[in-house]
Amino acid sequence: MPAGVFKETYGEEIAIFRYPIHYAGAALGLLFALMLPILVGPYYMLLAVSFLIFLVGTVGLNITVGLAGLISLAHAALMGMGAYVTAFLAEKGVNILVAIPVAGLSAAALAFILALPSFRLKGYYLAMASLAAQFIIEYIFALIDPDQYVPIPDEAKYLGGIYLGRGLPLYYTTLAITIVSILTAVNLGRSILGRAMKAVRDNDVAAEVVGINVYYVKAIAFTIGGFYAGLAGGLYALYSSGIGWEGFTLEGSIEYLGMVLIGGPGRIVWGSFLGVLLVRTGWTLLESTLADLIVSYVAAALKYLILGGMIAGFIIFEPEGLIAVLRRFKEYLRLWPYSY
Amino acid sequence: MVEANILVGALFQGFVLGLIYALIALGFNIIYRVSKSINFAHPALILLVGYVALVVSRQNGIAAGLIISLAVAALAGLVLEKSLAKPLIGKPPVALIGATLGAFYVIRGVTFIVGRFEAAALPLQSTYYSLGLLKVSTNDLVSMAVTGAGLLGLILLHNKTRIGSAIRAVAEDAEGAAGYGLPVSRLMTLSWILAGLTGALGGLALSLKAQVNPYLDFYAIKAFAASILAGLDSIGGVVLGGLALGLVEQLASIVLEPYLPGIGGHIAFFFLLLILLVKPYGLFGTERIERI
Amino acid sequence: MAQNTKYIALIVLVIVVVAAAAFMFFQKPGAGKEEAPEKLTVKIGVLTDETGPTSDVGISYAKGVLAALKYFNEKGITTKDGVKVELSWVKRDYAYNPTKAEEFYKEFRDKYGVIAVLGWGTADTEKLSDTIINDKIVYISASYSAKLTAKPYNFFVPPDYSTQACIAISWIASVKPGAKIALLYDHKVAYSRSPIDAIKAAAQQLGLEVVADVDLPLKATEADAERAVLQIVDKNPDYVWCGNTITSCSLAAKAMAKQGLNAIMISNVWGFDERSKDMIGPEGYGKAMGVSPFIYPAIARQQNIPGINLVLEAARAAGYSDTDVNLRFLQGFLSAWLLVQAIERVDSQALMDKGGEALKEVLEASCQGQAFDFQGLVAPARFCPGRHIASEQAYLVLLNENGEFELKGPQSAPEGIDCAQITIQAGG
Repeated sequence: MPAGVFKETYGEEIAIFRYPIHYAGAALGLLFALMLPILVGPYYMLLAVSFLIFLVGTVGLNITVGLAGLISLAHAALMGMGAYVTAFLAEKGVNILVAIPVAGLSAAALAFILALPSFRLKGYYLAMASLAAQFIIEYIFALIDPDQYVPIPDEAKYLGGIYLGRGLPLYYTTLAITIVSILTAVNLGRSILGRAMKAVRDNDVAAEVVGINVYYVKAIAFTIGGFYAGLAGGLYALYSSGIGWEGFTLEGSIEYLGMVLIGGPGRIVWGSFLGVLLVRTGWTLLESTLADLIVSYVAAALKYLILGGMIAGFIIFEPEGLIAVLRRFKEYLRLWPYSY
Repeated sequence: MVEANILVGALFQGFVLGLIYALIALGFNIIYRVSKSINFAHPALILLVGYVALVVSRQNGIAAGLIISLAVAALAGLVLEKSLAKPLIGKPPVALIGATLGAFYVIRGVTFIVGRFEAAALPLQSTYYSLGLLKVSTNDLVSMAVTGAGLLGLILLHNKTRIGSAIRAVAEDAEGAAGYGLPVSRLMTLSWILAGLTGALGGLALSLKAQVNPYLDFYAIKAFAASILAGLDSIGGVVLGGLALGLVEQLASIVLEPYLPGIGGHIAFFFLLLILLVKPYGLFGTERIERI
Repeated sequence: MAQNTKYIALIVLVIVVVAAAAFMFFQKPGAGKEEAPEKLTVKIGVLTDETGPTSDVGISYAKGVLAALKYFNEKGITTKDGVKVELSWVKRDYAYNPTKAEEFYKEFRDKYGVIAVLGWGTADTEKLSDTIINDKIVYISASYSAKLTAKPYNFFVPPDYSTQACIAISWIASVKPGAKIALLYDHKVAYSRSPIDAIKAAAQQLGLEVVADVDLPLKATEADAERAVLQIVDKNPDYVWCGNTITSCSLAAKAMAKQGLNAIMISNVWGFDERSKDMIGPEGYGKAMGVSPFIYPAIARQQNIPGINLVLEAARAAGYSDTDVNLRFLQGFLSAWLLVQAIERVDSQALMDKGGEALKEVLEASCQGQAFDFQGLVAPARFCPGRHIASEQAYLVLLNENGEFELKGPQSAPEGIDCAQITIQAGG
């Protein structure tokens, strides 16, 4: 009996399920996700839907920022693109389950255009270019949506007689799309493309020297990130009765970036998961908890102090993101009772 | 055809606002140079300065408001450096970006406690002066004086003093500078304090020109874009970028408004994207920036 | 391989079982009908903006709402048939983020089972206006958008923005026939744009001339305000309509004084209040006014309007000082008061059986029946099915040369022109 788990082939080393705990974790996680509506009741189920929507979006940004190292401040605009395309198609009578992938593709197309500056720019400059793109797209949204409200017709949200926009069907539809997109993202990280992205992130000159087409990789990283943002926008249109451009502003993009950086850039699934849980859902839960506990203005200030403090604290003590804490804990469990 | 008085007024106001954008953009720039990070706490700092100035100057006059908000901003810069930037030295820049995002929320919370997010004007009595076609108010003069002094002071410090050249050395190559015996750590602290001070001056002028309100940080994010318009590596470039942002905003609003409603606040970003695509190092920047 | 297939089959089985269980769990019929108890509890959701971009007014509004709920609750509320009602409310700050507003709305609905929401801004109210029809939840907002008047479950105490704007136009026509009007508003923001078509139509009908239509951003600086004012200066308007919020409108008034434009600025209800005095400054005294369906608390106290004593009493009981009671506080108070009055008119059995729908019915019963009265603080409100325009009356408040607020009116909406309808038809 070997003292630990040893891999004999490279295939085993990069497999999704490398340790028994991965099987157990995946099975339990899936079971929990499926049973969530029973466990927590309708409100938290819908909060979970909103969580999943932003998780899909954050996974996308985590590919762009975390894997490929391209900072983007236009992610909310891409999400808006997806939402508006969905609204437009739904209005035309297209079923929402068809509209959502199309939304993803159209946001991907837009993201490809946004990737053009990244061919020449890095870091601070790229952040600036995407900031400009965010403002420009926001302006275009304002032109095409002067009422700041585009209703999503309910007729588009049916599948075989079941209304998908509410309750359990909404949850399971969102969950299914989320799981598929996350599995795709995980596989992307393990593929040649994913490794090429990491190479570009870590040293683009070296990456080019070993034969990676840096332009191509950067463009793809943006495009895939945009696809996920578009999916999130489409899901948001499913979840919501209507959309307006003030939901896709720069504040949204900054929040997205925050979720990636805080959860752990490059840790596509768990990093994004923790980021969304802390920043977005955390804010909502903090408000719900604090508003019931203490005087309103103290609660109002406190939720910003707690949230910000947690974000900064985690990054300082755990710059690789929250996920590193969990990984150490997992290692500890795996090796227990020995220390190494 | 645009009439002369509209043009003169818009140019002047664009210039005044451009100086504010420039000073706030320099705050971003200073941090970028020493810490290679985008300081997302800076917009929140502008908000904090606005409310500190409001609360203090209601009680003790605008001069006290200026002094206290300078002190608060310098302190905030110091705290940010000690608590965020220092522990994260050597970590990838995204870590500091994330940490300053956290600080953004914290400062917003503190600002809420200080000012309860009311909307109000700083108590400064306005007098109007007429210079031909141009009308100038006390607000214009004070904010020009504040931002002008800030910009001038910073340029002198940066170009003419030993501290300035030491900071430039650190910005260029921190390890090399340490090798020459420069107190890198202290210079970094100083840079963060300087960024806080520029934020205070810019924020104060902004509070005069836009009044104090809960969305002051929005202008600071706009100013962020100015920091690159003309190139990151010289203070002159950032100043030019800020001025360009202010002027373009006003002129575009007048000229393009009939065709594109509400274009003013967004036009600068079309230019920014264009410049980045055509001349990625900015209009006047040197060409050896990091790029592939 | 075989092992994998087994795993997958197992997982699929588990998914099916769990999903089926979940569906059955949710299909459970609701609790059976109860006998009419002696005391009913009505759950209310309060959605506020205390830390977002509109928090400068949102905080006071929220204080007003909470003070009213607390006050009426302690005073005792009974339904039409004499059953005691206790209010229980949940307050959430959504920081003007529409996505978060939606999350909290769902919390109200699914976790607390509210039958009425006291909401806030245009973004969240309009976004939820279709959802609340399905959920049968009465929504009383601080957004007075004309589009909401056609929605069955949206209510608000004053006339809508378009009707308010038309009231201002008709006031102008009565003081200065043939006056020239310039329009300043944010051309991109739905809130600012909403009354514009109605204003233009009303001005034409009443023989006024709209001489300029210029963009003034909602998030404006002095530079923006001056540019906008310079563009209208040579058109020599007599009146300037400002359709933004208070910062933008007071900057516009300042810019008018600076550029020597001798016109009077009229702002909509969110563009002008007690703070305008300081925010505009002495140079704008006598040159700025606001439309307000509500009597400002300070003026109401001078004029001994009966309702203000109630508001002050409630404010003191909730621990607020008299200076906290401003226009925004009053607006919040009245929104909650409307809800309380509706509860007092409802039949307890109907309230238990139909919840929000029962409240909607009594609110709409005021169309032919008795109006909701607010003891002189705002015109009595009637709501007709499909047309929730509470009244067609508002005051104009002038910041006069001495820096005091002076009440003009009440003025009624112009005859023969349906301002709300114009806005509804103009926007999709």
